[in-house]
Amino acid sequence: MEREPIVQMRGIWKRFGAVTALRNVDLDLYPGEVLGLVGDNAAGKSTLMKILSGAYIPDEGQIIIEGKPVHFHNTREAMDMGIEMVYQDFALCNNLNVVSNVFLGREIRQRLILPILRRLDKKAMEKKTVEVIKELGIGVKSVKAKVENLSGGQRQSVAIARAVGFNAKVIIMDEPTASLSVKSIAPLLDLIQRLKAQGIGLILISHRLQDVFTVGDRVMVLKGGENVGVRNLHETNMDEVVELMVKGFSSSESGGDRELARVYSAELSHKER
Amino acid sequence: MVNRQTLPTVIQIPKVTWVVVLLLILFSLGSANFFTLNNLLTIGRQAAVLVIIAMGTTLVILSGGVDLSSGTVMSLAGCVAVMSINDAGLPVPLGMTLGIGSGILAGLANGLFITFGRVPPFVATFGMLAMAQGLALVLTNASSQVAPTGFYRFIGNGDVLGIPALVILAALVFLFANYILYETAFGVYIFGLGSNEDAVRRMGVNVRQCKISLYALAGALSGLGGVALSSRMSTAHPTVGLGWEFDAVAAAVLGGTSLSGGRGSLAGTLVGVMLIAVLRNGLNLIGLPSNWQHGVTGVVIVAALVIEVVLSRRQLQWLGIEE
Repeated sequence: MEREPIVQMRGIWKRFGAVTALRNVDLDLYPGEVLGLVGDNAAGKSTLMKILSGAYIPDEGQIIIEGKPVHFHNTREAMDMGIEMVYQDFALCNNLNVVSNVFLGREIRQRLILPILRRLDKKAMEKKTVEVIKELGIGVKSVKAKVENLSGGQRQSVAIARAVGFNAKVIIMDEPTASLSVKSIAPLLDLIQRLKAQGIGLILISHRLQDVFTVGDRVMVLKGGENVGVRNLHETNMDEVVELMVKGFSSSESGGDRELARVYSAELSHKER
Repeated sequence: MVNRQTLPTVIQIPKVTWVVVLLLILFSLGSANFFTLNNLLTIGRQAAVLVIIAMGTTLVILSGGVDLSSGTVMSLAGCVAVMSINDAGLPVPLGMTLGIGSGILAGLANGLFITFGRVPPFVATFGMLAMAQGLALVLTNASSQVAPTGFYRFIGNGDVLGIPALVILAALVFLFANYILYETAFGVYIFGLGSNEDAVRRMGVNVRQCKISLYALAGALSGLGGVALSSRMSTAHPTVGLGWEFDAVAAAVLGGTSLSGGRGSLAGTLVGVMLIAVLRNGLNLIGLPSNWQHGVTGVVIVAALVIEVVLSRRQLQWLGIEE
């Protein structure tokens, strides 16, 4: 790919006390691409995404967004750069309505001197929420409905609307299919395709490899905090990806990549010493 | 009112409203003096101070916290205000401001203990209950302070166009608290914190700043309540507020606010305050000996709470909301 990546993560290290969660991890994400991020439990998927979304600060390494190095100190700074996260638990407040959840932390306010007293512009927020929901073609009956009265799929739609509604460039989805019923999965994958068509880069953290293979362009495999391989999905198969997840290398036919995996691990074990 | 539109209206009227109506009828039958304009204004005055502090308490409970320090902070604020006028010779408005300021400081301290000190609100504000009480006793050397005459006493005893100034003050506080809760982002965060604090944090809201502001606001209202109470009683007494924190929490819960946060309303608290005020006033007028009043008040409050909780749960189940 000759296009410039929208996200480049270079040499990311993260340690928690004695545990090294990420070792020298690189990641590239291109506009209009779906990157599957897979790996076993404790492989470092969430940690890596928390770093990209600003929740964690890496010990070492660089994050470059659209060619510019950035240093996020919190999720707000990442969101301001167009990096949004759709959390596995959706991060919604059930007692608030759809509009309040979509705008949580980014409310539109009328001007007044003291920030704490600034009045909410509820009309503008409602209008925008209706627009985003219509644009996404997702079924939420009323934007004034409290989230607790919505189904699981609708709650996820609200979480996605919140990510999409503020000029997102990158959307990270953490296990988006994990809490969905089988019939809600197809519309979600369809929605991912449409977001992709808009030029948004998506990272899909998923245990369900079939979802990654359905909508993904590339897959990146983490094991034990290391990047053990990146594959174009039309050049690989589920067996190889599983092998990477489990063993950390693949023994199948795509020889060049096997070599790469070996180089990676050699390089890392060298760095360890 | 963004957050209440989707629930049927029945749920929005606290069940205790009916208890208040019942009490009004019973007391009217029990005493000829009860349902008179004069007595209703007295009830209004008695309720006003509790309305002021219970608004702060309700906001705090809605956020998933609790404020047990409101009562003793009231005592402290009243003493600070009166002493800074009487002993330090400051002008009345400045003294009152200092009284409210002492409430804000206590609230700020609560907020700092809870956020940076990571102390649970129950413990932090319980500690503040003792600290504010201690400070009030030390400042006054445990003696009552006679409030200055004139404007200071007008707040608690004067009328504006036939309406007690204290009732007007409480109404303003009620409107202000409603504005904060339903018209500002801060209000959204208060509800949000009570439901899913982690979600609010992950969406980039400065949760610490939010909580500190909230406890400071509650402290300010306790301070205002303390100044108003010393004005009404023409005296600031260092232990006068003890027990008010209990009434404030009871009023909130009676009005349908959930102690686990996220659910409730300020209008409900207003009804809860009315219940407590009507009960105290009515028991007096029907001539129940004062030794019996505490016990009877307690029984009625608990009974009303049981009604509120049982009915709410039925209704939620019927609507299919409660799992």
